[in-house]
Amino acid sequence: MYAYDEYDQAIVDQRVAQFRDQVRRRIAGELSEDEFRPLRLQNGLYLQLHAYMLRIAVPYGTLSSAQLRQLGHIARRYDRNYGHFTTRQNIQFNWIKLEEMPDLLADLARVQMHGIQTSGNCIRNITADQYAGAAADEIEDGRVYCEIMRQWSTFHPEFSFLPRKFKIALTGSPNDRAAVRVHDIGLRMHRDAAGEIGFEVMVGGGQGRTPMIAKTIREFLPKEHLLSYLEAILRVYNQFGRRDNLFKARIKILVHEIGVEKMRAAVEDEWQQIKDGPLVLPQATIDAIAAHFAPPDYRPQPADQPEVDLLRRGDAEFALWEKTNLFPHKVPGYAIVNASLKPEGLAPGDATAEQMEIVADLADRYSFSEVRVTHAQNLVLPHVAVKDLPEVWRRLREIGFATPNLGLITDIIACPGLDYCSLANARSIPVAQRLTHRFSDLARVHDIGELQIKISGCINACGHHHVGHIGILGVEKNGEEFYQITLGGSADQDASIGTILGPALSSNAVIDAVDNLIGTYLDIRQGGETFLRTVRRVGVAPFKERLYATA
Amino acid sequence: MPLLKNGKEVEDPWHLAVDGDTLPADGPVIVFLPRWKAEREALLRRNSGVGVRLKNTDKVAELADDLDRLGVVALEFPKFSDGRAYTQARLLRERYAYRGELRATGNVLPDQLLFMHRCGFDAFEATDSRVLRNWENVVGAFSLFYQPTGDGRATVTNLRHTRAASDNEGSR
Amino acid sequence: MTQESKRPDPEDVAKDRRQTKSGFVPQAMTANRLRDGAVIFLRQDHTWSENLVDVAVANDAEQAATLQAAADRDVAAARVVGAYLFEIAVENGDVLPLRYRERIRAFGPSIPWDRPVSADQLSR
Repeated sequence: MYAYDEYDQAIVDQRVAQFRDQVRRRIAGELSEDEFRPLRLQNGLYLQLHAYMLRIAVPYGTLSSAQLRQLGHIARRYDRNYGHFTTRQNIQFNWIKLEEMPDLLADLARVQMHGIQTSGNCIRNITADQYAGAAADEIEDGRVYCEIMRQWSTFHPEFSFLPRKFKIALTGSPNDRAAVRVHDIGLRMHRDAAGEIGFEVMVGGGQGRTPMIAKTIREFLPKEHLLSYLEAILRVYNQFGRRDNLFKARIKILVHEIGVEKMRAAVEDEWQQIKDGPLVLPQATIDAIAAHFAPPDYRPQPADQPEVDLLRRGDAEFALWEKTNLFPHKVPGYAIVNASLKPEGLAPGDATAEQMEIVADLADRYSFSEVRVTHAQNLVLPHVAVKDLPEVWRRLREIGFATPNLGLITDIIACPGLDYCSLANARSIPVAQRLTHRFSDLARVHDIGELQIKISGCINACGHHHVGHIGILGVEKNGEEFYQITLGGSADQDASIGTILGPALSSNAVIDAVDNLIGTYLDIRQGGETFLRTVRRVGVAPFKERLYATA
Repeated sequence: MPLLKNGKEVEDPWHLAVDGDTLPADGPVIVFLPRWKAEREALLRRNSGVGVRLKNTDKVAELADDLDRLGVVALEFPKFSDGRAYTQARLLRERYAYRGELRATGNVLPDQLLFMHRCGFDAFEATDSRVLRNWENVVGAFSLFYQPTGDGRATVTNLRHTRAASDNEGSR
Repeated sequence: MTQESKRPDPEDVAKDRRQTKSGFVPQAMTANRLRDGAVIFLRQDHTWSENLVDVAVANDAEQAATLQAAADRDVAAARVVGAYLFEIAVENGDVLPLRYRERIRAFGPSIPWDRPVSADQLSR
């Protein structure tokens, strides 16, 4: 994975020194809160419902074991012993003290981490397929280009005060695990007719109060032009994106209002003037970054794994976990292991300091010191030899990270909601908790099959409810929490926005409602049809009728 | 109003003419774009210097043919968070090769001077006196940059190439 | 601050807004302490407490304005941030925020959230 050279390190160290001075000036009263707010936000520090919250960037979801261990240290030393992995592959700490922030950032900088551009109207942390560099189905390791974009976007002087925040996601696989079609810019690597690898560029996707699927603005962009093309899009957006209304300021509204044809013309026109300038990526530059992502030193693995076979036959729980929580690795004899941060009854995406340290230890011993964070708020050990699966499973089970539920009904995405967030209208985590209690029978969970429930505590949609197979949106009515259900959303390569089912339901009714929807699905599914396929085949009407008949 | 130019506080010799005002008989003046377009010939006949101030919705291309006749181009930051003038500045410097004074006006805050400087601004109207006091501090806060912006600073990529080349040299 | 044992269920939303005779809903002042971000409540003597039980209650607009002025002074002095008044009910001397947002803020998240570091972890 990428390691900073002295230049990258100097930039982050200088940032720490700069913020140390800004915090000093604020506490001394030389800066007002109005002046200080943008400065702290540019370092990921929010003032939330209870306290300061720090969001730390995990670039394209890749962590070294040393970094994860340091996050455990941050949790223990500066916070209440746990952190929360987010839907943007970042991590948040909920109880940070302003006066300790400079030391905290210095501790982070020691492991090449920071909170830069995790807030504000700038280019945010770039997200990617959590299996990049390991997945059997990928065309190329997209992290190389994510790192190139990370450098280009860090402290970009022209694009640090955009109309609104700007999110870029990249997938190097035809099976989109990065939700690229619901980002401001989505990049999909693919081959052109000549077999060259480049990018399909999509623009104007997003969630929030106006969910939109991104439109393709360029079918194929050669790698050498990646940065100039992005700069052209950002330049058009910076000039013409709306600044009169916060809710209409994202690029998706610009694309929607002028139409994708005009957007394409404006971008192409700008691009023609800069495409052969200093942003061209020579192969040597790409190769130098790619060298950081060289495959680890895989060892030849025996074809037969009698110990694993034995455990598989003898332990149904292991067999179920193996079936659900692994993903095919590109190298024979290896597997991608998902650690489920969705145990029954706990907050999705939370991990304690000790859990982080144990996963870091596992990564050192069994996964070439690499860990990934997923936008579904789980962790990944990307390169585990099949022979080591039993031991990895046992250790994950000891810390509660081996629930065999990946991609199933209890693998719920949830934003922090009103329990932590000052923007929220309703709580998210308790709904997720109650759903995991309701669907605690693993046999039933596996019978229901692939199903993504996504919960947001407000219309900003950090919990991705618009693209949940079942989406749940918390709203406040007369001082009470209500929940609106959507059906049929999806964030993958055939992305779609869910359809609102009907009037919002009370907090008590929403768990029964999900159960009711599952009942309808189990009655009408055909063959091995998934929940999403069933909804797409029959529409929402049968679900709606049965739900509101009994509600 | 104090003016920060090339890192130093200087007297501002320029008079900003609001649309409709009668221009002073002599001395350098800055006018807004509509007046420039309407009175271009007359303005150019003044031999005491003329500059143009653009709204951040104006197209800089409208000045493309006249840039070598202008002593100042002034751009506006109505709020510090409205970043359109950063793009205008880069276009003026990089696309239209403007070499005269490029002035930032409006809500110019110390912590943004470096971004402005990187985009090509070299003069700053300092409504906030801290702008004058903190130039060395804020512009010196960072010594390395990733993006090529035409400001003459070497990028990290440039430095890596130079180093790789000298490493190769040394190993021969 | 540890988890409160008698934290009310936020779902038990205030059913009725207890107004005074004048039609004024009682209010109290809250903010975050600048240095560490802790949720704090303004006492009658215009100092701040981490405990809601200590909070000064404003029973009319004039009292509310006095609390606001005291809070504004501490905002200007860079001691606190984000000060605002919120509506409360007072029952048998107990102060209870009306909105559950404010209850969560006063009593902590409605889910387990305090995970103290064990002694052996500290010694690492």
